[in-house]
Amino acid sequence: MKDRLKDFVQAHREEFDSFAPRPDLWQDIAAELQQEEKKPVIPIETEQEAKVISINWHTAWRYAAAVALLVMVAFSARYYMNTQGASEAVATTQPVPLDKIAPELRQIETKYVRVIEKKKSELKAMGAGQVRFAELDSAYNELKKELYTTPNKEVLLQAMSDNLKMRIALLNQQLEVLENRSNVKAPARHETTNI
Amino acid sequence: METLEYTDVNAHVVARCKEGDRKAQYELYKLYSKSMFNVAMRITNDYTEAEDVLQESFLSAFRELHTFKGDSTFGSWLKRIVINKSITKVRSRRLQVVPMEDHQDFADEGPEVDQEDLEYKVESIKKAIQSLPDGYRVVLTLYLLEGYDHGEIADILSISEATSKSQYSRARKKLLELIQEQSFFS
Repeated sequence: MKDRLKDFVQAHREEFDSFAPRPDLWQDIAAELQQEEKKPVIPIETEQEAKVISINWHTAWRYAAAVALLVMVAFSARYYMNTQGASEAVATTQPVPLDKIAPELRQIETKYVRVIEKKKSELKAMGAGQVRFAELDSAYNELKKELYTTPNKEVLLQAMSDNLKMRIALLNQQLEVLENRSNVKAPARHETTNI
Repeated sequence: METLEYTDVNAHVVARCKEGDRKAQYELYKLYSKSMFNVAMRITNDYTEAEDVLQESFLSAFRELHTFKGDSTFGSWLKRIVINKSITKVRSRRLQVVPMEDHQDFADEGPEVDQEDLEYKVESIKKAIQSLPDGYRVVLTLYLLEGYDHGEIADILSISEATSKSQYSRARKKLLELIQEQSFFS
C-alpha cells in the first residue's frame, strides 16, 4: 500500500523540526563536563574507603590514613612541579585540565615569556629596577579562568597573546626611554617602574 | 555524495572530542542539538523533559564516546541515545503505553479515513501527532519522521515486528482521524 502520509512527511521533513532548546543549555552541559574532569582524585578515595569498610572496621583508619597521605603527596608533588615550571610574569598555571582544553596555551606562554624575561633583564641591566604588570596580570588571569567555561577558545587565546604582546611593547618603550635618557644623563638607580 | 562528506567532517571532530576538546564538543552540540531536541520533543511531548533528555544525552554521549566505534555516523549513534532516554522518560511517567500485545488482527476496525480526500498540512499533522496517546505517538514518529523500519522499531521498543506494524497502522488511522477532525472544526 502506498503511504501518502509518509511521502508527504518525508517531503516536508525539515519543517517538522520546529522546536529549539533554550539557548543556554550548552552552558549547563559544559559546566557538568567541567565538574567531571575536575574530580579525578575523589572517586578513588571513596572507593577505597568503601572497600575497607566492607572488610574490617578496625583497620579502616590505616587505609584512610594511607589514602590521605597519598593524596597529600600527590598534591604537593603537583604543587612543586607547578612552581618549578611557572614563570613569575605569568600567574601560576593549573596544567592538567588547561593542557587538555588549550594545548596551544603552553606554547604561547613559553614563547612570549622568554622574550619578556629577556627584556626585563635588559631593563634591569640599565638600572630600571623591578617591572610589574599589575593590571595586565589580573586581566590575564581573568582570561585564563574563562578558558575553562568558554566554548570560544580562539578568541580568548588571541586576547591572551595580545596581553603578552602588550607587555613586550611596553618593555620596548621603556627600554627606548631609558636609552634616550642614558644618552643625556646618568640613569637613575633602583627605582621601581610600575606600569 | 553529501552524506559521505558529512561523515568525514564529523569523524575529525569526534576524534577531538575523545580527547576532551571542549570546542569540538560544542561543535557537535551546535550541529545536532536542534534535530535531537525535536526527536526528544516528539517522543516525550514535553518541553522540559525533552530538555532534560537533550542534556543527559549529550553528557552520556561525551562520556561514552570511547564506545563509539564509527560503524554508524555519530548522528545516528547519538539519536539512538536520545530515543532511548526519551522512551525511558515516557515509560517512567507510568502512563499506560497503549496495550501493544492484543493486536493480532491487521484489519482496522471502523470506516477507513479516505486519505485521498485529505489535504495534508505540516501544522495540522504536527498538532495531531501531539494529541496522540504516548504508545501511538512513539511508534508513529519513529517510523514516519525518524526513518526507522519496523524491524528497528521492534528492537528499540523491545516488541515484535508485527506489533510495531499493527501499532503503526492504528496510530496512522488515529492520526488521520484527528487531522480530519481538525479540518472539520476549523
